[in-house]
Amino acid sequence: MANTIMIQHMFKKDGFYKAPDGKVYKIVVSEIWNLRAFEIQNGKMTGPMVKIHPESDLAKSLVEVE
Amino acid sequence: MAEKITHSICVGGPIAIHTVDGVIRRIRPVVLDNNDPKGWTIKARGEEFTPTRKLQPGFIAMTEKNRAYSYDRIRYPMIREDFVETPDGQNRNTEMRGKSGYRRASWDEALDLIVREIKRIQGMYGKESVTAMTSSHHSWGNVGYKLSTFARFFRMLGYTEVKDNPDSWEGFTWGGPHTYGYYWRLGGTEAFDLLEDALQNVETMIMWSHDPDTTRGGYAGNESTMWRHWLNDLGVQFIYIDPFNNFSSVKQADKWLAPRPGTDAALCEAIAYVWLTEGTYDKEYIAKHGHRFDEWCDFILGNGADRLAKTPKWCEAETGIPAADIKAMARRWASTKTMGGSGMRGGFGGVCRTANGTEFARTMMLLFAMQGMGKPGQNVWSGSTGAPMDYDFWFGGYSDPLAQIANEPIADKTAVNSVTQKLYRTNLPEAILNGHYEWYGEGFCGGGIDLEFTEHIYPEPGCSKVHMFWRYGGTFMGTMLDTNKWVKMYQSSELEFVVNQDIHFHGEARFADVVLPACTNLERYDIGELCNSGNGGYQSHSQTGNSWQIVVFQDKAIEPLWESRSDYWIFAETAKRLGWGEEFTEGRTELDWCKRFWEKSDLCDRISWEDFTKKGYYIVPVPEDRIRRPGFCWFAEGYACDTPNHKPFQEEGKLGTFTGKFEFVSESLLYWAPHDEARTPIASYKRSWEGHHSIKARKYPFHLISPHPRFDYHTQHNSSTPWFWEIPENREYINGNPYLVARVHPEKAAEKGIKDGDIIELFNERGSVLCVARVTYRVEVNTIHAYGSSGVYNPVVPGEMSQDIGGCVNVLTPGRLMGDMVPGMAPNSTLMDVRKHEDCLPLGQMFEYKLDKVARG
Repeated sequence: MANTIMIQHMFKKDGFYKAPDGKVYKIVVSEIWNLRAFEIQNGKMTGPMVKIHPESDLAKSLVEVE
Repeated sequence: MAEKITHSICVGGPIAIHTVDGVIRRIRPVVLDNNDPKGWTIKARGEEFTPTRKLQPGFIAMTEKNRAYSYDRIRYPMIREDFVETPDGQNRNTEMRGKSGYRRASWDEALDLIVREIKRIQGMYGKESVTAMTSSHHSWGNVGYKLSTFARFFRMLGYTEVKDNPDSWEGFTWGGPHTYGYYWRLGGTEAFDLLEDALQNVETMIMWSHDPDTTRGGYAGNESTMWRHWLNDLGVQFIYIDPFNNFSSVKQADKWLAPRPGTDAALCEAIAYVWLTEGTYDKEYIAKHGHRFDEWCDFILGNGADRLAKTPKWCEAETGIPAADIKAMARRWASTKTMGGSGMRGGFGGVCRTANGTEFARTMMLLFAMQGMGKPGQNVWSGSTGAPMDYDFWFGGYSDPLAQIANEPIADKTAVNSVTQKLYRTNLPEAILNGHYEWYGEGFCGGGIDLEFTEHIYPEPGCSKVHMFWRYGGTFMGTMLDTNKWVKMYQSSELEFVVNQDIHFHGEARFADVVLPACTNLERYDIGELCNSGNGGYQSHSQTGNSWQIVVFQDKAIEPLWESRSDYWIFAETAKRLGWGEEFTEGRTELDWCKRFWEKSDLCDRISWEDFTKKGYYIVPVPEDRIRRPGFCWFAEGYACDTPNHKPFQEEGKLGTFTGKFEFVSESLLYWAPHDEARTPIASYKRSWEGHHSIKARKYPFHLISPHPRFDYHTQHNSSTPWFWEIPENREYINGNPYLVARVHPEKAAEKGIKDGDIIELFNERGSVLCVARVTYRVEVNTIHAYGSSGVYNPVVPGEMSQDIGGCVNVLTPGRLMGDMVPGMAPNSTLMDVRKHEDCLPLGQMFEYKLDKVARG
């Protein structure tokens, strides 16, 4: 049966999202199994690929930013 | 005598390389050890299926040693001996390109000349006056691949980009999205978990213009061969439809049907006619998921504008297939659980590279819709993809922007091309020769259906024409259409300077002013995942064509041979001379870039860099508790899409068409191209502009089909791997030259006085090719079969539009695109004639001496 998590409705691929700690993430993969992001610092993708579970507290706390 | 074992991936699959004292001694498949994870298991019909613990590369991969040490390796930089570096770019003897010999040059001399010319030409005309183009495929590896190193250099330089056409699946790209969406997969369908579905449910397989043992699932080697044997063992019946009784068909087909080339859409219509008149289609499914089905029915049943019923008898006249066979196949298809497709990944077969390839792709998809596509055992699936894999593991493939050294996050800074002007690959010669070209579409239109209809003009208003051409990778003379137009282009003075950067001295390299020797990926570092063309790129998750998901550290097995260098080194050195070497490399070596792919992917969570590079590969385990989500099941059953690589509207249960349904009359074509006669809103068979109804057929009565090759991979093997010339089904040595095999039906051979093994001339108004005849009932009576894209272009008179003896049958194919608004190529719509060659055979054309003859000391 269907997975009820509509990740692509929650997160736009290539969109920017801000976490409560002030970190800004760019979503680079938005699929039913995969929500992946890179942290943005000084306009650049930095660090390792961040895997975000779509039902995690982090996912729920992310707010889209321009 | 210390033996070193390293690993790599080539287009034929992953390999282990045994090297002794700096010399490659042996290439073998990768055999898994006890520390590697166990494979997936599929339970079906009371049996369990699991892959063997050995990777299954294609046989072409086993010849990489022969290819690395090939006789035709470009050994050192060369400059055309009659090239004159004139200050204005004129009077450079461009008409001698292809004819002249070369003198040896140092790297410094060659690169300094190139840099002077780049500066001169861009300074004189503008940045857009330089263009560069890659081959259809290049050596495997995320660092060295064409979209990585090459793209980084040229985007930083600023150049006129040449847009690729989807040359392997034209009809599906330009047709499929208008019928069932999937533009983001370039018209290809989704095959997720369909191997398990097939093993459990399917009863009949339709292999339409499909030779999976030959095309090897794209880059997956023979990983899927065993799956089809499993289906055989389960009693699944295979029906092969192909003008050539291909290599998979002869060992597996329960029935072979041989349509006249280019008439397959008529066969689709007749099958639909049988189903409609006998009421044997899924009416409930169509009522729910079909759009304007009734209008299409009227057309099929003879109530449309043409008042022609598409009966099996009518179809017999078009296709040559007996009406009784058409009815029998239609009835079996409707009465059993049936899967199938055209070519690997469901949509790659040679039939989609015909004048009406879009119409075949559309009508074939509609047939599967009529039988309830997405229900168990009912799907577009052609037996070479859809294995279980861990979709939760991410490592980028070559088309994935996240996995290219041209872009962040692999690079610190993304390389951006400052030039907007573009060219289109198939018609580059026309653009250069005529100074003007207009076309529709973006080539690869994964961003939306609308991208098929963008209008392009060359030169772009306010831009200069192109005056420098940097050709990179294998030859196009064997893979693109109407080869002789490329000869004319190269000899045009419009191209003031031509560079060719390649591993082997293919026929096209000889048209350059400067030739640069690149090395194979056995002679440099790289990293890559088997058959991953891009998770997020086009046709993502193509690794489902493998039994094993494997990421390989492509270690350097040997040092670059002769004076060859890696592509990265060549571009880095050129960038340094242009003054931006540090920006290009960001201070990284090739090995540093490899490590970036490890640290920017899930690989770094699974295995340390040290362990990965020591072992040489990482096998991605498939979770035992994996959730099955068969492709299209969501659509058939009406729930939100749960397969990877989908779009938001699929989460609403819709396809990517305007209506979200299977469109029997396309709303997108009605909107953008209502009057296009090549691709009409109502999907339907059209007579080919070069087919048996053409006036030209009176003079040239044979169809040439030149499908994806069995004995090479586009440009990469046949020319440079003489081992293959020993295979009688590939080539035959006559008078010292290995002639390509062309297959002729015995009836027609007798009419022409041709016997098996004779030298024959294939010819039409575009050129002629000498081949060796294989007289066989394996071809449809009006068809000549000779594998295309041989990579071997060997004209009797170099630099002239003369007879070819390398087997470059693309000298015969038409340069015409499918339609005015359909920018796909159609090599399998070629008419020609054949005769026994009774003149003297050309001497002195043996490949072994080709390079030595033109390179002076």
